[in-house]
Amino acid sequence: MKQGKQRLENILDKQIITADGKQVGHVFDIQLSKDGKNRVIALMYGRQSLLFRLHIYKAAAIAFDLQLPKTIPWDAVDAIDRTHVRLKPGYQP
Amino acid sequence: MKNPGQADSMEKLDEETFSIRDILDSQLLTSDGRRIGRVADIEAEVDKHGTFRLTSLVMGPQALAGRVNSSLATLLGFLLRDRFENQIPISEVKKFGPTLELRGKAEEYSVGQSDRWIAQHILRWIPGSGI
Repeated sequence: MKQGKQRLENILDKQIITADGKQVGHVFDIQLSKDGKNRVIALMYGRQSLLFRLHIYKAAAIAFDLQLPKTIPWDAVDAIDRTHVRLKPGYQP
Repeated sequence: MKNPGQADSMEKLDEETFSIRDILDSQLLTSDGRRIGRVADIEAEVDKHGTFRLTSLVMGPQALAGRVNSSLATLLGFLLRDRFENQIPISEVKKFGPTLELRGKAEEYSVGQSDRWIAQHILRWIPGSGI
C-alpha cells in the first residue's frame, strides 16, 4: 500500500476487487484497533456490514438469523484508486 | 436466534468492534463541557510499514460535502478556499463514544469559532439567552 494520507470517507462505498478483477463487495465500514493506536485493521463489506454501520445489525440478526459481517484484513489491501479497493495477488476472501 | 454460539459471537461483535461508525458524526465535547461540532470525516495515513493509522478528525462543510459527492467537495473547496475546514489530531481525543471527549478547552480548537463569535456578539444581547 502506497504511503500517504487518505480520507476514510473516500474508501467507504468503494467496490472491492481481487487482483484478478473479481468483484467482492462494497466497503461499508472500517474496523479500527482498540489498543489505543487507532490503526485500521479491516474493511467490512457485505449486507451485514451495512446493517452494522447503520447500528441495526443486532436487531436484524436476531430477526433474520444473519451471518456475521464479512471482513478483509488491512494487510490484504494492495491499492485504493478512484473507484476500487484492489486486493493483493493471491488473496481470495 | 437458532444458534446460541452465533448469538454469543454476534453480541461480542456488537460490543467489541470499534469502527468508524463510532466516530463519524459524533459530537465533540471539550474539557470545559462545550459542544464544538461534529466529525465530518477522518484522516488517516499509511506509514512506511504499511500500517494505516488515524491521524485527525475533520470538521467543516467541505468534508461534509465530500460525503455526498466528491465533486461537490472540490467545488466547495474552490469556493471556500479551505477556510472552514478544521482538523483536530486524534491524540486530542480522551474518550471515544457517542460523544468524543477532547482533552483541551473550547478556545484551544479552531472549530466552533463562528458559533462562539455569534454567541458573544449577537446572542448575548437577546434577553434570556443565558450568555
